[in-house]
Amino acid sequence: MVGIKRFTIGIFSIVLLFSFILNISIGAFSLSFNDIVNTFLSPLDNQINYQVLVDIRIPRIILSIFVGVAFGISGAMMQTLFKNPLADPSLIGVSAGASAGVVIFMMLGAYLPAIFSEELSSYIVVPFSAFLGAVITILAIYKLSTLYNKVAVTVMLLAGIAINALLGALVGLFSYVSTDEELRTFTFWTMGSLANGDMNVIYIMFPIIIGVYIFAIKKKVELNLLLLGEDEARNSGVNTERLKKLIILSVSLAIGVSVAFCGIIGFVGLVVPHISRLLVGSNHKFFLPLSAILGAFILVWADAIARTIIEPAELPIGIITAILGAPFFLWLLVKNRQNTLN
Amino acid sequence: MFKVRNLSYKIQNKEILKDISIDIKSNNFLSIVGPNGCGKSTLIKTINRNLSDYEGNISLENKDINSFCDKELALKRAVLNQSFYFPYSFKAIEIVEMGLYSYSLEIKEKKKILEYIVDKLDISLLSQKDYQGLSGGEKQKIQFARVVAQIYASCEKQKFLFLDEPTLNLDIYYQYKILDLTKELVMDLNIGVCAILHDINQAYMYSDEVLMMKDGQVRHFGNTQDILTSKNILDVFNVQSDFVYSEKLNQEILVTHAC
Repeated sequence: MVGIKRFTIGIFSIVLLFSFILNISIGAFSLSFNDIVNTFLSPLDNQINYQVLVDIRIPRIILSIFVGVAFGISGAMMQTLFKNPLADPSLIGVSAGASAGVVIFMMLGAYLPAIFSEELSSYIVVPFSAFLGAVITILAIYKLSTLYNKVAVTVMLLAGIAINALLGALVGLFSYVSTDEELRTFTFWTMGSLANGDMNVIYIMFPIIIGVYIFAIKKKVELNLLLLGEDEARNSGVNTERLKKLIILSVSLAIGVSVAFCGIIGFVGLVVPHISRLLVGSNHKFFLPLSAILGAFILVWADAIARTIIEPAELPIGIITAILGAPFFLWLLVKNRQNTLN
Repeated sequence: MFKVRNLSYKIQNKEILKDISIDIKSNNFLSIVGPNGCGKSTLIKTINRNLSDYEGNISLENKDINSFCDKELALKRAVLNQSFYFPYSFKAIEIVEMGLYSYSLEIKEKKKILEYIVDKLDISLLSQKDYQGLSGGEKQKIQFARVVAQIYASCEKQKFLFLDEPTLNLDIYYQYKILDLTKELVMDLNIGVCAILHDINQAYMYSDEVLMMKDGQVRHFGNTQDILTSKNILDVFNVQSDFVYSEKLNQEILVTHAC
């Protein structure tokens, strides 16, 4: 049993590695493997190739991996925190909350004196506002939907609808008074894109994503116990109050930076944990690593589709993930219909 | 010893527990009986801090219950709540192992404890199956094994086991098996048991003390022989009863009948 689970995780790691290599050659500017090898052997002779690879393509693929891990792991932790497979960060409004944080910062920013430089603003302040937006949203939804340590799933989902609608209104309001250039940015917020990936983004995301992943793995036993129920976890010795706060904090960090740099990418946090649960069961020891790997795998390929399907233009990645994810969500609802009735 | 003093608990102005004062001693089997909705489960939940905002005092070893951290408390007592929704795929033995969360045990020791419990409860086949596919009674056995593991591994002098309807969903053979094991834990490991039981006969057979509750209050509390009488059963449950001696089983049996 354990052997098969380890094997599954191993297989998917290898598949992810191959996807990474394969995707370096795919894109509007097509490069064969020979080109890639030559470029790295003698960068000076292939300057254009080198720039495409090192400045654009490789950072973008690394970014898609980070964002995939962020959504995979966050989705997994959220589903455990809410004890429900429908608790997806995008569905219940956490991503929307993060982008609302950014939009509000931008709106205020127009009226405030420019205290932050352009660089500082886009790499530090924007992610931080996204993080704040995410924290507030998760806390609000958790408080709204729990009573006597139990989660009311309907309230959770409906609160998500309300929050998503509120953000829609906010973005609508802002788009009314904004220029064409800004409008394009809002499309980016609501539908997501990995086109902004550069090395600075990677440097900022790296410690956060690694930190959140390590936190999740370290807490695997506690997360398992949390599935039994909050009372059971606490009676067995888990400091559930602290654990819940740490989960909310780390999910907000991961979703906050992802949304700040890549906008809202829906359904990954819903679909990925569900598939990994089908493959290796619910034990977080296997479930978490596979969710991270699968999340990365799906985002790498969703982005590959997004940037090649209407070459030389690009589709927002959120369209791809929604086309794949929304039917899956409906299928999940139908599958869980029986439980909902009981 | 758990000391509960003047405990009251309200949900939206409805009094669920009213002024309850009891002691829960170690090396003692205490049964709680009473009609549906009389506050038995709420009492166990409040004592174990699963419900806050209560009035009154709950202490363990003369220290307020809230002065312990979750881990300290987990070493001193284990709690089996009524069965719950758990639609996740885990191997049953992994669920039992969760009971050992608070102990830093070596793999070898852990294995020994788990083997002992699996053997005691006769669940070796069951323990290798997926929990999700088990029947209600089988799940109950696994959850019971989990809390027994938690309390069995403890090295504390005083330790307690709270059971909310441990025999729920079980066939009659396993009801006795679980109660026998619980009694054994009381005798061999000096554990203090506090169990909500629905079968008054089982309460009569197994417990040292009985607490009879009605409308959120303590109606009768003391030694089993003094408390489980026809008069008190009529008072609390509103049913007629009589004690009949069975020669074959060499024991007194409580028979009940509607009024």
